[in-house]
Amino acid sequence: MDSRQVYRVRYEAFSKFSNTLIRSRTVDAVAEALQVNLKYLFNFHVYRLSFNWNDYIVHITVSAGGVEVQQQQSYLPHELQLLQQREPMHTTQPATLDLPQAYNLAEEEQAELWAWCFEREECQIVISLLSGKSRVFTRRDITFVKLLAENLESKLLEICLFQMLDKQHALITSINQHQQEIIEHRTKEIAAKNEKLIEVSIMNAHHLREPLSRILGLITLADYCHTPEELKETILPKLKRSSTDLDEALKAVIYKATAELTELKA
Amino acid sequence: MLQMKKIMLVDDVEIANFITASLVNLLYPTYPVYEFTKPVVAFSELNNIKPDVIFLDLNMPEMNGWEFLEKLQ
Repeated sequence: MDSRQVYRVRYEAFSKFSNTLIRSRTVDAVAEALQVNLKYLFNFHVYRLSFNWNDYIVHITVSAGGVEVQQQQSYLPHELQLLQQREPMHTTQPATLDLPQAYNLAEEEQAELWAWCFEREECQIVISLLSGKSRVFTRRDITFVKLLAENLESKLLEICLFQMLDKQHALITSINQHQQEIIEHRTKEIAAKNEKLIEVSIMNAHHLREPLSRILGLITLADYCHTPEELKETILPKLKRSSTDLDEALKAVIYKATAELTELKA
Repeated sequence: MLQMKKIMLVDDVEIANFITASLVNLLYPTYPVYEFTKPVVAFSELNNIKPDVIFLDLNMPEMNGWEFLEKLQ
């Protein structure tokens, strides 16, 4: 197979991977797509991607042991160095770096560590790749690493934005629900207050009307008294009593209405 | 000549009964008026008096006007 054929096969593999990536909606789905398709694009022992957008950090590591996703900051020392220096890294002595167990290869494998940092706007993506004698990675393969990095960056950014939208949506829904509850509560409160005010008005009217009607009735009767003595003996004591009743009713109504209105204000 | 009617007044407020009784007396001086401040007593006297007209207060303790009417029916 000549190099053109190799490129064609790899581009087909890359196209297949891109299609899978388009359908991915979660970081786990992206990680699964990497685990399945990455081996058809280039050789590696360990492939690691670290993505950072607005402090949303995700690390995806693909190795012989499978795929691992970490969604909190756990940059490796060489990645931190890369983020500072922003220059591609290539070393034939990866053992000198403080790397996890998965990066330890037999000496005869002649391990090599490659690493790149890609930045676009506020997105940072760091790719590390461990190759060796049995899984050779050459400079010509870097084209695919870059292509892949661009695709992954777009997809992970899209996932982040969707997650952010989901969070905002949940927050807005929660605020709306809270406001709805407040409105319902206030409406009930106002309805209760209105009912109470109506009760107070009815009570006032009823309690005051009764002694007042008596007074009006007695005044009407006073016109029919034949003598001042009759007026004094029959009407006046009752008028006095009814006036006292009206006074008491007024006091009671004022006291009760004040208490009810104070309670309503609270 | 108008036929004589028996009037029953039931109101827990004595003065209210007095006013109604006085007005009835002014209009119909010959009509007997029976005043009650306790609806229970008034009800027990219904058969004896057999009133033609009852002036009934609605808001009374022990038995209100509606209960009085229900019992009467």
